Amino acid sequence: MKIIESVTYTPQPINQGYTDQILRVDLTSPTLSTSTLSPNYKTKYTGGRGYALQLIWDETSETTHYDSPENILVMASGPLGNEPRFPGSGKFIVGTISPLTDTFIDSNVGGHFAPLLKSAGFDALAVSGISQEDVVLIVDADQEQIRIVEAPTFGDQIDNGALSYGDALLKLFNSGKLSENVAAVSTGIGASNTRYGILNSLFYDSRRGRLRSKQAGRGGTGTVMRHKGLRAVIVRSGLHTVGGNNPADEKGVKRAGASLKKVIAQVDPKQFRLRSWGTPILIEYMDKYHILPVNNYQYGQHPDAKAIFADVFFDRYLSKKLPDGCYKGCNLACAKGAENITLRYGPKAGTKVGVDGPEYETAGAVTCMGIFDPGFIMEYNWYCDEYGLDTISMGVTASFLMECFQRSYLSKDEVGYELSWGDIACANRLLHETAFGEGFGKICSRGVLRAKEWVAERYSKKTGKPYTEVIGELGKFAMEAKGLEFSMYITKESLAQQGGYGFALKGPQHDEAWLIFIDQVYNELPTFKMKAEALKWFPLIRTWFNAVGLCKLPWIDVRHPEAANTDNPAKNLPTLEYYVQYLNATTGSEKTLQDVLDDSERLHLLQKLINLRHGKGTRESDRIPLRAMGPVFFNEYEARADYYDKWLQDQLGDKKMPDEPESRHALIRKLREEAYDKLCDEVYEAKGYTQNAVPLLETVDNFDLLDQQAQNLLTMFGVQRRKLSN
Amino acid sequence: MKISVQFHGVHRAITRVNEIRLSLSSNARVSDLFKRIERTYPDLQLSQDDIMVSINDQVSTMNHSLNPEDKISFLPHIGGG
Repeated sequence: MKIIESVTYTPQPINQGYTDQILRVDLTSPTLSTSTLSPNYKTKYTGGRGYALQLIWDETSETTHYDSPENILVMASGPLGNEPRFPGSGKFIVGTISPLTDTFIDSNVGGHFAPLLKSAGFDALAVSGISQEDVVLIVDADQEQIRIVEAPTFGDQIDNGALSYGDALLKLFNSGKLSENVAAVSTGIGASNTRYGILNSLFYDSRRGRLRSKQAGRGGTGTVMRHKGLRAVIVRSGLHTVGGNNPADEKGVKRAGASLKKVIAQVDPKQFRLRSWGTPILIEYMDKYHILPVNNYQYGQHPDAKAIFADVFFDRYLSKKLPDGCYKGCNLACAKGAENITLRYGPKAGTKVGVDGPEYETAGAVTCMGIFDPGFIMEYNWYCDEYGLDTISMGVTASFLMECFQRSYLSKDEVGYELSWGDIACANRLLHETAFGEGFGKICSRGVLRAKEWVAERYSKKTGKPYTEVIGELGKFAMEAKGLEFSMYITKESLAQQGGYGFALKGPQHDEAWLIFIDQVYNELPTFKMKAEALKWFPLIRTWFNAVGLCKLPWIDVRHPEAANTDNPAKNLPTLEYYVQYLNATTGSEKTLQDVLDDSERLHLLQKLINLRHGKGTRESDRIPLRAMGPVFFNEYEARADYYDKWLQDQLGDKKMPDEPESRHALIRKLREEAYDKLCDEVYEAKGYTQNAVPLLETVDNFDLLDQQAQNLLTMFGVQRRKLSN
Repeated sequence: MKISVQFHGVHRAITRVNEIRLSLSSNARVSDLFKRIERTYPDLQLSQDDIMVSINDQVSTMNHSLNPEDKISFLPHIGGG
């Protein structure tokens, strides 16, 4: 591989979870540099998502877009990543300015890449600039060298695929062999041609004898990487992993890890069997409670859903004797895999492939198109990974366009074929066209927000209806907020989760808050105040995991037996104690859970400031489509008329319901919109914001974030320091 | 009275049935049903702390009195993705 730029370096050892080193890459010049982070840095920004936020806040501006040279693509783990004695420690985040939301996005991903990067001497990698030719970055701790090289080519069949290219590249780099000491991130052709390209994290699984992949799926991080001309990043390090963080208290780390592993071993087999079935176990429960998206979130349940329950994937496809953790030592091991799946469609039809997945979200993206074929879910999963497409954004955009077709906003002439629910051939065609930037795929590649604008413009011209009217109608069922497509949960019957999506800083992704069951099913949040408290607490703790390099599933989806004896079982506090113990044992701190929440709140506020700077931070940006709040069209109301009528009568108390079902439907919509508005009021107050969702100056100041940029920004939004009354 | 118990996920895999019909005394509560399911399917390893009771898709409690044709599920705690 032809070297364009290289530097030699001495990998810094990890001390108490940190190397305190960052690798900076400017692809324009190109230059490579390493620098030491100040001691204050980790105290204030923790790691992972915090480092990415700080870099974006300080080094980009309101005019920075995803394709601006100064946009930074950050990959960072955190102090608690890289420890096989504690479950789920292979995570890192990818943070950047998103092509979908035009503000900060972070997406977390597992694999070996982050632990290897840290053992190679770096807490974070920050890539800016744009290369004129495709390049690969190599961080080689074994050779003590960092290189930018010309991206090798292997022919279109391989070069177009993130998985195929990564496999060929790693073999070329490592003398023809795959190794657990070498990992990579890569993108595929779909990342070049869409706004929702993903970044694949590739690692060698010696038991399967092949590369496996996990994905930083949300927000178009792969699109940014591809736009920078960065085809892949390779990292190699032969340094040890167990104890590699050089923790302050070895025994404490071991103790905390053993405690959590014991709970997982005890509880998971009788609770979810994530270790066997993976996250598709959720499909059955979501279907039961009308939460599984069907036909663009119109419906939440379908009689054919049983064809894709977790045991179907397990019996038919998944490798049964191989635990599939995405990093060493995790005994939850929920990432599933299948071998020798023969593709039925697309340019690689007939080829046998290994599929990493499916995740619940991928299955939900397919049911959103009205398809309940497990084979197609496996195939959709593989092609999206290979092309480098977010399964969620792809499926939700396709579903939106299908509904546009259903409701005659689009015609066969405009699309080139019929977009029909449940039609595998149609969904498959749209998938491949989107990846290659061909035909109607060019529209689908834009994501829901921009596809909506395209449809509105054409329909307006075609019919003479005002554009504003058309886009308003489409906006009711275009499932995006802040420009990001919704993830795969129907929120119509959970006001708390409507807020969970609406207030999510990155857009409607469930990793900030997932409150559907405790709200809708368990009814544990009956008041606005309780919902608001949950909408403050859960995002803080959930996003803390993205700052320290850990997976949150062992906390979320394995309920500690002792949690039932606490005031708020849903918080699963006994398990969180293990996390705090692990943090303190690693870094030598003496933090409490409240300290952890405070650390996370600082990052939350910093992200809020970035959103404000990029025009996505006010109340208007927290609006969600009507489809997320209730039945938009009469057919949705009709499908559950008894349920909705009962709900309405409960709201009205002794008052009489309207006689006409159409009037009842209209009233439900009105009440749902009013409830969401009221929720906004409560949540903003709980978070220390104005009613326009802008943080109060004191709130920002309390977390030491009130620099000149923040002051100017808050002033621009009319926020002044409160005068003390006498 | 006759009621139905629906099994989901892990419970369905262990019991190998989707749903069973049971006859209970007319004043039976959920706790009575729970004990009966525990006896019938010991492999479920049911613990009251680990599950939520759902009757006709509404969350309920162990003390709740059952009615004819109720559909009962014992659900795990679901925290999401």
